[in-house]
Amino acid sequence: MTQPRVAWFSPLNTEGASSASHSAHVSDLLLPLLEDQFDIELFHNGFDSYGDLPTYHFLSAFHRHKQKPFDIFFYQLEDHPDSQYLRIASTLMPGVNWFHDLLFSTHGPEPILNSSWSETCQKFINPDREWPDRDRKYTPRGPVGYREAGMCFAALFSSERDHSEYLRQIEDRLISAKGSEQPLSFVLPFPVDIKRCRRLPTKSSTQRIGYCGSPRIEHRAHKLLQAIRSRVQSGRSSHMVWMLEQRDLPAALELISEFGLDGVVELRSGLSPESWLSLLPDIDVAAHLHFSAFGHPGPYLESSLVAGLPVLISRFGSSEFYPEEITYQIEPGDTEALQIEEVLTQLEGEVGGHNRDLTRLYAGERFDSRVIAAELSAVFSNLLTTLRLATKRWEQLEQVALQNMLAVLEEKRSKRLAGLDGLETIWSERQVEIFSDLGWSL
Amino acid sequence: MANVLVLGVKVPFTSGGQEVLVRTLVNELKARGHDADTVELPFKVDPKENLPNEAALWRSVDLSCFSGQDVDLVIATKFPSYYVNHPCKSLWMVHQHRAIYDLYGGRYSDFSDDPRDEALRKMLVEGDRRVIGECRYVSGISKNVASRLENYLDIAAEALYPPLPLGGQYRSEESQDYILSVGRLCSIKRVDLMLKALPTVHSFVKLKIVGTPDEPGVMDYLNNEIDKHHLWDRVEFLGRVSDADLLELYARALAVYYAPHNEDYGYVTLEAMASGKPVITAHDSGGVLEFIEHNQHGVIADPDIDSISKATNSLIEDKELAQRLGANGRTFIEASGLLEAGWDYVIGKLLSPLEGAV
Repeated sequence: MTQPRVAWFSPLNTEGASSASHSAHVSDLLLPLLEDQFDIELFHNGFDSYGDLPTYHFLSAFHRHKQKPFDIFFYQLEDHPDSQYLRIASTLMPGVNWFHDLLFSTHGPEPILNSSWSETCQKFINPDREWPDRDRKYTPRGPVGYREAGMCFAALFSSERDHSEYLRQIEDRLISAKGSEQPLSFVLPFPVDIKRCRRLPTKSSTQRIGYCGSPRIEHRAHKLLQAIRSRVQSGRSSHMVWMLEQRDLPAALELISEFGLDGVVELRSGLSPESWLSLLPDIDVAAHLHFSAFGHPGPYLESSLVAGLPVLISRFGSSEFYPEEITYQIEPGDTEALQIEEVLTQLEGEVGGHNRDLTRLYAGERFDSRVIAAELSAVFSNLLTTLRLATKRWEQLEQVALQNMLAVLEEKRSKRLAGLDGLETIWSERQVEIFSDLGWSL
Repeated sequence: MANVLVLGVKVPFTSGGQEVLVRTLVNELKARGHDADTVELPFKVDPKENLPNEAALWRSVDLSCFSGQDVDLVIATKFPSYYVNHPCKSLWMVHQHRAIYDLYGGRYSDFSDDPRDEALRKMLVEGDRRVIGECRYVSGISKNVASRLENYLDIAAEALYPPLPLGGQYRSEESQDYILSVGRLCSIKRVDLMLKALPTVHSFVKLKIVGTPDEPGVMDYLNNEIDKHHLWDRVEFLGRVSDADLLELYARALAVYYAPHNEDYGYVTLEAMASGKPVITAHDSGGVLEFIEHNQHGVIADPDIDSISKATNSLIEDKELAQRLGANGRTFIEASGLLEAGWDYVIGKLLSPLEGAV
């Protein structure tokens, strides 16, 4: 039996490069687990190859589809510069979108700023509707990815919060009429490589806190530093390893200096899911504070939980969905630093009251990359027939779009040659001949 | 000797590197004893729905023979000239319709996510693949252009650099206090970056701009920036200039600014180098970077106002640096074969489909 063919669109860690893009990391973990079940071809915004899998520029996807049709078009979307191209690519041939973020901090690439996607959805559902006028002005509706979430046949979400927002806010959708059928949507958490997270922890007499947020206010670095400063001032030894992106180094240095914690905080640039994994055995506590509607602690929080570490999270947004039994939830506000300090003090000592085994069990069952791969495989397999039919309908819509576009050409030509009957006939026949020669239908 | 037609694409009222390339190629073919001429058709880029018709126009033209003379070879240069149907076709690609390739998805492309635009894009890409595949020799004017053919269409292409249009006439003279910009005035050439950088560039330095607008509203935009920053005495629009005046402008410039977005080739780069002048460019300027190394032949900045300003001031403040970079550029050009001798090689390659036949 032939394997279903999957066109996998994602930023990729090509040629040894390690990216902070979550999608690239997810691809690294899941592709080896799925390539035996599916015939996968990769599409990214570049020309480098990726391992042994056939890899192409995303603009070539339609040509590959023509040569050997795909059953599933799969896209990973996130609020990251490397993923911007997917905000267009995912709507050229809709498929299954895995949202690592549903809110986007930019309006997106220029061509989608005036996108008539909502009318395209309506046209897909009801082919008798008229095409929208060209050159109409549309305005983006805010940070929620209405367009990206609406223009797909099935939607997956790394975060429960984003899935709730999708069900609540996204009404214009390709696959079902507004408000009628249940949309095809699921929660699928970030995968984690269990083996990498389960290395034996190293020991230290000083409490070591790992942190990978940016210096920006929503990641609460200032509150964490305030808490650590208070601990240091009361004679408790602390060491913090702050892993971050290169561009955040200057602001971080300034913040550390402001709190007088030079020598207590160690900065490491080159943040990526890979680099965070390598840090885990050398820390005792992980802080994944996040107080913003945008973004979330990403795969870093999942990795820390799989390692069995006590994690500090903000009682806000996507973090609210993690169980209180294995996380330490901090209420953002006036007493935030004090709460952090109290938790760090509580966690001191050999065990500190934290149940490492329970944390590992919970996290392993939910985030193990093998579990996630199996779930994604099940999504693909169970939806195969639905997706094939939907893709066929989309291709029919494309044919109609082509005919509409060619009709515009025909209309302009007729106007130009109006009254010149002989010429009109000659050119008309010649045009049909030329278009046919070029493989263009008229 | 062969009868050769060079195919040019003309946008009326504008002039750029492609026109120079076509004209120079015809002259060089004639100088080598070939019977050469130009075939040009006008081209309208708007509205985009008309692009298949523009391509079909070229496809409909019969270039097989004229006045009893068979046309042995046609040399196509730019979209959509390569759609022509001829049994012996060479391609020296200046560029494809970039809005559906490397510029797709960005501010320089007018193709949106509308299924009608996507249907049109696919049509043109498949059409390009078919007709370029008919060419017996495929090349691009730079590695940047050749790699686009390989990367987007899987068509192997050679980089064949055009020698400089004014051959050995470039010269260097004592610099005066101006930065020179040469090229079409449109958004992708990013002349506005240098203009906006001027307020933080040493005030005794002017900006001289050679070139004409070929985008609606661009002159209003640039003049608006000049008014906003009170740059009336520092910016001079020279429009089109004669070859003699251009050589003079290059010869006396302090530096040449050329920082377009992902340029195909960039005659301007080489003209500046041949004139012994450093080039101010950006790290995303494409073909320019095939020749300019940072602090060797010019300065490579980030494509933002502050960085361009800093780069410019570095050359103003350190005259020795500017002279050294300019001299390095001249040495490079002399060794490269891009002055006059390069045409023998280029023509040999373009006429290679005729080997043994003529």
